Amino acid sequence: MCLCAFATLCQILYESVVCPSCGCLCDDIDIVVEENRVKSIRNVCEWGISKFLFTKKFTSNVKRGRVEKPMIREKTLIKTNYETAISRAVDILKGSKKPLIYGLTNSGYNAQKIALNIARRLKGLFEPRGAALLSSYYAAMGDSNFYVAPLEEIRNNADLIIYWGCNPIHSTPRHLARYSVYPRGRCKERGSQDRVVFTVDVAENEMGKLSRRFLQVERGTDFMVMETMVKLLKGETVEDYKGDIATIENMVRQMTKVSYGAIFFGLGLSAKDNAKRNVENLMALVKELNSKARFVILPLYDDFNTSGVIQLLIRELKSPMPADFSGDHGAKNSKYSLLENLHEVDAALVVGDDPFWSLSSEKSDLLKEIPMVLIDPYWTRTTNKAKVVFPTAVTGIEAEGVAYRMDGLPLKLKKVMESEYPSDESILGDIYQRLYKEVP
Amino acid sequence: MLAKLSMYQLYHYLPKTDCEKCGFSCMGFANRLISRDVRPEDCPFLLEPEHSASLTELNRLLGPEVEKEITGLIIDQEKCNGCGICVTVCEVNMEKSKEAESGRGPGFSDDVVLRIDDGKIKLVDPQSCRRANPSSHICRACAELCPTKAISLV
Repeated sequence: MCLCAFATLCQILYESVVCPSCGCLCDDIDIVVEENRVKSIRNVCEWGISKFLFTKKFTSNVKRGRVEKPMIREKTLIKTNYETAISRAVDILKGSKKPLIYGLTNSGYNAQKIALNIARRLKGLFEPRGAALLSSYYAAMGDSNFYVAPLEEIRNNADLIIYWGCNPIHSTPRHLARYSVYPRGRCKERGSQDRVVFTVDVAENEMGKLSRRFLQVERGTDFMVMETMVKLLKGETVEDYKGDIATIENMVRQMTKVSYGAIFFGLGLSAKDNAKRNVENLMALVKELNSKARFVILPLYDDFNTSGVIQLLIRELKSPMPADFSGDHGAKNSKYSLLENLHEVDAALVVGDDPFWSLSSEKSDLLKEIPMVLIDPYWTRTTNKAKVVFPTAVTGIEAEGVAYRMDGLPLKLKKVMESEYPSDESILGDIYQRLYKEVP
Repeated sequence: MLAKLSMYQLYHYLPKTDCEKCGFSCMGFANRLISRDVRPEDCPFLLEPEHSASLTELNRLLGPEVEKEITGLIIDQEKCNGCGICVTVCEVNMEKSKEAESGRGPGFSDDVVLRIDDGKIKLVDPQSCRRANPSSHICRACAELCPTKAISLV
């Protein structure tokens, strides 16, 4: 950081900045900042540059609308000062019997921690975005003795990569080039020539063309494919399966030949509310594969700190499930998603997410009915429904933070630009301090 | 943005007389313009002052990019999503930057052939590309492995 009197006019070079766009958290971004704007940026993908230039994803010439001032809703949203907005948010939250704290996958680890403390103080619900799939995965991982590997080890050793229910070219663009298929590793000196790639998805995409085998499955029937693979691995007959059995047999034959495999799965496995069943069957498949060779399994996150919020839940509550503090048993909860209980919720605090875009219409309709406090840098569909709106600095660009990579490695996010907005961590901190004083 | 050129698009700006002063018919000349075996200036008709507009337009269509002439790579930046596969698989990049070999982006000081600049692929040193050296074997790695088909070959 330049400390001279003309700091805002200087060209500042930041090397090896961590990119806060997806779960890859690429740590090799070089940025030149001039007059508090990005002048040039290297080694960043199209999604990353959209984040650094505050534009729409994959459309780096269309600016995203930012919320300029804190706002409260009278008849319409009106601009107000920060203290008034904090008071209104605290009034909404402390007046509710069962508030929901939702989102948080685009916030730093410390902000997530404060949000969890707010949920604990208010005896509310705490649910990160996309919890249904990820909680299922981490719960299953906790029950099993599977090997967990960092991405660097996968790059060094893996000779079979499977992408299941995800398209890394869109969700994590640099994953293929940095960690899985194309880089040369210690034991894979020829890079992609030493590896085999399989893709399983509902429709053929760019990944299908890059893969040795592409298996097209019907939406929501992934668990049947996994069952079939397990049966084939055990040497049983699979006469009842109606799909593309030839490709499955070929894939299974290849799986038994490799020495180190990695399976990456995405939100495609949560289709038709089959997340739990899909993940359980995938774990059964990995267990069977691990009896023949070392296989690791990792989820692909499209938000940069989804891993962080799950790590927080495991660290604080010893469980990856979304937290429910409303009962008499602390945070104990056996459900993979608390959004089934959305009709019981009477207020919501949404941080860095747009639930009206990401949730189903039934759940969005329930959210419409309750007062909502929103902390988000950008104007989204949710902004139009919120009672209180806070603009924030973008974590990893305008504010510092800590984020966890998809394999659980913590990385420090740098601040590369000055911002007039407070960070989500400081807004949540102010709300928590007021609640600490006012809620017994 | 560089669009893929068609032979007829270039033929439109040629004299269409088939005089063969350049050694080819006009359609043959257009074909060789695409493969960069000839330059628009090789046509004596286009060097006449009254046809300078056609010459300018041909040069614009073929692009001032030196790298295209040297390497035969056509990069469509609209299609590129900055995944960096081409940067990682490029053999020359691997020789010049140890970081590129392991998937990391090349550093600021590394003199590489391909680099991701502002979210898009850029050919920064065409002279070092294997395709620029006639004695070297023909390398197609970047174009063949590009998932979005942003790199094509002439």
